Amino acid sequence: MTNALESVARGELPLREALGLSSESVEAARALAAHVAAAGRPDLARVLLEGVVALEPTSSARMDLARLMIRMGEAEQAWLHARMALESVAPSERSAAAFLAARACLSLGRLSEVGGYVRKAREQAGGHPPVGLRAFSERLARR
Amino acid sequence: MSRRVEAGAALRVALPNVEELRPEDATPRPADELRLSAPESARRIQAQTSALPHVSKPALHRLRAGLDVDLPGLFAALPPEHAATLHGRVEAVSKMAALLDRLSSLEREVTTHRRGGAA
Repeated sequence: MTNALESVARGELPLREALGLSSESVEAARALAAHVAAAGRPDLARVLLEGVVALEPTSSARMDLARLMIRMGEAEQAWLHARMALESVAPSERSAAAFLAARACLSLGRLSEVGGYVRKAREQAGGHPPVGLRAFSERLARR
Repeated sequence: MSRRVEAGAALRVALPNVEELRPEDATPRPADELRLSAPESARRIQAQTSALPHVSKPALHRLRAGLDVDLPGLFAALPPEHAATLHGRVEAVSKMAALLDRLSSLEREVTTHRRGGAA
């Protein structure tokens, strides 16, 4: 186990694997977080999602956390998770992550960065832009 | 308040699809202070968790069982630089395990209460 944990510390292995947990178990915690947030407890959902990200920092989990952080008014954290999710290999996920980063930057008042993230979200979206991106960019363009 | 933050706030008000920020949700609370026992909150959580797909509950049990290891003890055996790297993750996972326990006990309480009411 100690060797496995050293591999985790070196970034070679997710903590989930070192603990012998299945992906399905971690996905179940993500699903639970969504339900708990829907029950009006984003604080509890945050505990779950931070645990999920600690076990395996997938881009989907990071985006869930970024969305939650925006909802909770923690835009700096939202931006950090969205930026890390941007490293995802799937273009559709990169687009959604860039949109989240744009929203986070807007909340932080970092207006000079918002346009760049919106452009990236559009470029990566292909024919399927994230919900809300169009209205968001139209409003931005009118400013 | 800086001019950039003011401008951001003004723009945020003008934009749709940006969730309202709720400062009361942003107050950090340690996991042991999470108020699960508030009846209304507990009811809503129970209603939501009972809507989880059937496959999720056994998976959550397996997750909780898998987290039942002495993480702090294991990390104490690591070289200090590795332990420091993993500290935040251990803390996050421990909090999640504690919350999963509390959610399970909440579910048991609600089930027992219902059975008691039905008897």
